[in-house]
Amino acid sequence: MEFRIARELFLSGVQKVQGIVEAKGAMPILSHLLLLAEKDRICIQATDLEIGSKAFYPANVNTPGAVALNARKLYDILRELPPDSEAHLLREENNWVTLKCGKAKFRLPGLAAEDFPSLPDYSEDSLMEFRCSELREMVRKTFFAVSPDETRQALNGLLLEKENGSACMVGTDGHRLSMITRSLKQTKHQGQEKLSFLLPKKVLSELLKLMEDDESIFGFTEKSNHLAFIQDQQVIVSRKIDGKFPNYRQVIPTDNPVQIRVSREDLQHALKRVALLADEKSKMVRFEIRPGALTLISDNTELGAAREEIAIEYDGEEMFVGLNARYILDVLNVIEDEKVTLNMKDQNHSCLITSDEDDRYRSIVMPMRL
Amino acid sequence: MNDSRQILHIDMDAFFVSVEEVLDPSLKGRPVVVGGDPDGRGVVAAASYAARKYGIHSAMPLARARRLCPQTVFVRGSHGRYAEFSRRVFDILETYSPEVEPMSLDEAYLDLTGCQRLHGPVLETAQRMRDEIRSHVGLNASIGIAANKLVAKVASDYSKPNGLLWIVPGMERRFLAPLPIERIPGIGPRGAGELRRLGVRTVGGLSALPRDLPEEVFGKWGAALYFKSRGICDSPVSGAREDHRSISRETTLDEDSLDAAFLESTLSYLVEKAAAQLREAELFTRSISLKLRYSDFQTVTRSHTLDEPTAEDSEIFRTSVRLFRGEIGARRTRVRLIGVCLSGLTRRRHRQAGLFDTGDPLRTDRLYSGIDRIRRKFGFRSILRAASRTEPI
Repeated sequence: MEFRIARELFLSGVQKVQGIVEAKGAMPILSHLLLLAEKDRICIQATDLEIGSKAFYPANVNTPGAVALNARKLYDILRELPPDSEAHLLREENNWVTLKCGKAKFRLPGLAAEDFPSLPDYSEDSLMEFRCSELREMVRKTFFAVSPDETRQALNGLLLEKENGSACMVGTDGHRLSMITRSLKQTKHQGQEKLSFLLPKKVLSELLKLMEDDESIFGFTEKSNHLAFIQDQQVIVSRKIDGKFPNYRQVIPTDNPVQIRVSREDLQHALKRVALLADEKSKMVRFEIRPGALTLISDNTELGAAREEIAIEYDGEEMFVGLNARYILDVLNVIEDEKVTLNMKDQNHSCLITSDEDDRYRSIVMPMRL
Repeated sequence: MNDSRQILHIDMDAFFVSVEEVLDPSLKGRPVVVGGDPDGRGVVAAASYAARKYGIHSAMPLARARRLCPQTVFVRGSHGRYAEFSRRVFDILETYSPEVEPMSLDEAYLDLTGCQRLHGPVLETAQRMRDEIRSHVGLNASIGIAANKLVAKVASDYSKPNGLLWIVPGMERRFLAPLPIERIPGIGPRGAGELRRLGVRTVGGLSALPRDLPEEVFGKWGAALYFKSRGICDSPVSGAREDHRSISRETTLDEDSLDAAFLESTLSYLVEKAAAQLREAELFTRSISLKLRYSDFQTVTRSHTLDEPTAEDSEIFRTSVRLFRGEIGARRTRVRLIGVCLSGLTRRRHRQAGLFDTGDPLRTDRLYSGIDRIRRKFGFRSILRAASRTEPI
């Protein structure tokens, strides 16, 4: 095996799989990535046996072949090579690999390509097709709400639903929920049936790294126990999560007489400041809502106290509610619109956050009891 | 006068029974037991001095008390009544000093240091205190006076019933030396047994041991004996009850045990005790620690911090039993002491509501306030978790 490839291209390909590769596992081969050289391109593969990815990059291939290399070491080397240079890779006897670049030369002990676990079988037949920029937006705007608690398997990933030509993603940790709906590209496989999948957290965080903010197309496919996101030159495959996602539709509040319209930036900045002195664990900030003004208050006696008032569009009854500042900020951080609306009923019911320009993105935050 | 402190330990004589006698004077002089139905499985909560003459004492099964003295009058008892009498006693104590530290309903420390100019000589002041309690509340109090809490407590105990004893500063060791070691607070029947095996029977014998020996044999508890046996104690009388830093409950088992089910039932009981005190103080805990001492005196603690503060038995138990199983799983050594400690205490609990919660979020709050009310009226052991051991600890 022998090929030459632009350093930048190689580096970005190797970088993208660092999150999948296990640095310290029981199986040494899993800390490696697989390099396959064929015709005019190379393929970089990685897997942790739960998820796997492969991507193709144009290269000048002299001799086709394959070898597994330590992913971290290869990344470290490529990172230190001079910009705009070219890397020259040659596999020698016993899977030793020589990497040359300019006057630098490295010899790396590789492992046999045959020992590298193959990626699970995946389907190429798209059930849904996303514009890359939209898929990225959908994941980014719901991913933070996913539960970090690995014991709650069904909440440990995002729900992806397809219905009537639209896709909906929902993330929740049981205390807050974010959901987004976007239209799908028309596909050949235009079934009208409702589909529903649970996407594991890790595939989502890796997906976020792969996706550029462009209009290329990502297809979503399913085959037996595996899901895949497929783009022109790259694929990411994952095992499905078992478990029943809670009935999220029934917790979307419909009766919200209290509606507070506020500048997203004002709220975001004030809340960040007041939250500095909120209880470290609960991060509770009291929202005191009065006509024309919202007062944010932290009065944790141990840490001190903070309060700030901001202008709001509201002329209803006075109302006090306790909310986890982190949950609210997570939502405000991913909304681009200028104004957001907090829709509430009373201090015991959920707060629905919407933005004026996008009624297909909604977040729900449960209050804390004061 | 020298600069030593003047600490009083006030201890009401047979408090529960005496309250019953005030309320029903016909009981006076008769053997009376507070604790409920003698046909039930309860135990003696308190016994009058007349009953004690028959060998009846606290924590004895009621049925046995009746066998010892068939003419005993059994009274169910009411926490509310006792709390009311206790308050009246404390109202009197607080007119003497702001530094009153309640230990229980019927027991308190009081610091009179520097009050001679105001109240006169300490012995007369203490006598006045006793007279006042006697005439206003109708109860007898025994008072021990000494330069520290330890000796004051031993002195009040020694002076019972209806006594007053002042241990003049400098006389502490001579007073303590001939007493049996069980008189020292903190030396229970088990500790006393262990000490007797070392040939120690009296406090004097204890103070004669080489300084390092008790510590080598008993660890920290042993090290403290050096000072206790000499009547040395510098713990202050903490008047305005400072905020709890932690609440803990532990017990040395009657016999070292490997029986996980038994140990867990003991743990459950201790958790209930600690959690009840937590709720009484209107606090919530965030950090739960399990303490185990093995028969080789090795002591381990294991802790877990919760996401949200709680005061619920079930949650505290769930966490502590998980710590227990994680710890005990690896060991085959018998357990000598088991305990639970609640820390990270906070007055507030901002409970995060859940999206998918079903049912009334305040239900468990009501459950626990109901349990606490039942206990205030009928005593702690009147209602217990099914997982808790039922024999007294």
